[in-house]
Amino acid sequence: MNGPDTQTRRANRRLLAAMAVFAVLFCAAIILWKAFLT
Amino acid sequence: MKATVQSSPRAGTAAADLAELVKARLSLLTLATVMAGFALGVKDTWDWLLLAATLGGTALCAGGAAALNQWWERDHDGRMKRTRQRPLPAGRMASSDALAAGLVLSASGVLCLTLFANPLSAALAAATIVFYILVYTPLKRVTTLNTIIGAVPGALPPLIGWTAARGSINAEGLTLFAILFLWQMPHFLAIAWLYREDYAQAGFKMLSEGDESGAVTGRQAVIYSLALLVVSLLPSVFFDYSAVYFYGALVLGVGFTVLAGRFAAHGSVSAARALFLGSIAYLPFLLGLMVLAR
Repeated sequence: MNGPDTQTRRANRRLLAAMAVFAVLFCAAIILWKAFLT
Repeated sequence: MKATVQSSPRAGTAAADLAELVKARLSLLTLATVMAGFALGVKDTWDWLLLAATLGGTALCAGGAAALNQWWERDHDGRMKRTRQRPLPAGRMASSDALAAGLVLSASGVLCLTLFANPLSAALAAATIVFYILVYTPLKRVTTLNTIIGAVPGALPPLIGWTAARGSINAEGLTLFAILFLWQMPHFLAIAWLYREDYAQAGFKMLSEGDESGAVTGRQAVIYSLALLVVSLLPSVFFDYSAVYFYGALVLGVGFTVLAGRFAAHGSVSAARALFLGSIAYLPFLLGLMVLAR
């Protein structure tokens, strides 16, 4: 009964998590760039 | 087998939901105004890396603010025809996931601007998010002044671009802010009138509520478009903008005011749509003219 909703929510959760990781890595890359390359 | 077929999410569904959560189209428009602000704020040479970081940081902030806004308004969105299919009210996304994503994106964006641009740009971005989520969003159900209040965070992005390039705020930067502030009023008044029943159903207090003839909303749109026309000419008077800008802004401003006047006079759906579409065309032309004529 809840199958489709749960699967859609899971897919959305994975994508949101990937985006959040990307955002954190983007900041980490800037910190490293500032620390070592400037 | 049937269950398997049904439970397979459509290709692109998750991506479409993500785009909706971060209001991708609106965020792109925001980035365009940040870029214009940056271009106008540059004094001598372009720092492309700084521009990329400013756009990246602001994109994270814009996406985060949109996600937090939808998390906050998920119950009300479920009551509006226009928004009930968004991922949160439709149940396709867990509200805790949207909240977490909104917080991470917003914090990353502010951090990025602090590290790469300057603390002033980061402070403006943080103020935009806080004002949008904690002031404008709750006031939508309290006062019809919410449209004016919401225009403040809406006008800050070009100033973020400006300060990232210039490092400080001056009268020219504030004029850019004023242009964006005034431009939003006819734009959102037209939307508010077109969707007035939807807004009323969701409990949002809008000036357009009960204004069937469009006279009250239209009059406000005319006042703001006239103010916009005057303010948009100031760069030619006080700053170093060429005559091309003056005449271009004059033509655009008169055209925009005529559309607002038509809406005030007729109060028809087609006139409100024309004002809305006209507002979308006006902004890139004016900002483009500013960048080219400076």
